[in-house]
Amino acid sequence: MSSTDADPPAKSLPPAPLVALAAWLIPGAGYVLIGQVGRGITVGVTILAMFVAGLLIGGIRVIDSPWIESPAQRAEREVKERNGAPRPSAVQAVLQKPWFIGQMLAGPVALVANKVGVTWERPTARATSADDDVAITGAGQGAPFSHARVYELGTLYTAVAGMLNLLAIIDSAYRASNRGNR
Amino acid sequence: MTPIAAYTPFWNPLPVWDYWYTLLIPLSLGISIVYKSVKCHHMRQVPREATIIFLTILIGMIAAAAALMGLTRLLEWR
Repeated sequence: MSSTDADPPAKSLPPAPLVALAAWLIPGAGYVLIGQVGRGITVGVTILAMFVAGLLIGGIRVIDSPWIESPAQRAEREVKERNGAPRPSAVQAVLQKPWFIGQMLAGPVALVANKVGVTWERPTARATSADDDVAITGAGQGAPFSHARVYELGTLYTAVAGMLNLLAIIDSAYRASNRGNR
Repeated sequence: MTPIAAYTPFWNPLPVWDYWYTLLIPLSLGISIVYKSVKCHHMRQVPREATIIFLTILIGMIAAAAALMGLTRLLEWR
């Protein structure tokens, strides 16, 4: 029987919480930890491919966390708060961007992508003056948002990747507590 | 500059404005593979099972789209 089959080696398996944590950190790693390497690679590669495909389809700003802001977003929020706008609670903040719940389930890769998205500055135009060749950027805006249909699809791809990873997290943790069987 | 030439990966959305619905096909394929990898007892069952569920999703989506298009046409006609 190959390692890609369901029955794991009859040895002690890591505790379920550790398997669940590994499965969140690296999609598919939970299965690898319990000896189901083929299943882990298939699940991990497919989930990560879907996540990256989502970023390619909609742009990196499809990952939009309620807490990670670009400098421009932070400045805008601070101005609103100074003008008396109430700061939303944690629950309200999440409900304003519910897709992030699914995206975050794909692992730290979502947080890294979000951080890159808000800090990535690409020159949009170049100064023509010879003594000022500093690139003009959308200062502090990060990568641009889109309102196109493909942006929605990118969001869908990344959120579905995260939710499929949740399925894999629960399944691998359950298998770890059940000697590798479902 | 054509839209595809202006496309910067990860920065711009993919310029497939008129064909966005084709992107549902790889999404369905990914869901099928992961779901059946989790569900199947043996990994050797996965290719066959994933193909079946992938085709089922595809046919279901086409049928739903055709039914909704028919309903829209009917309401327009009345």
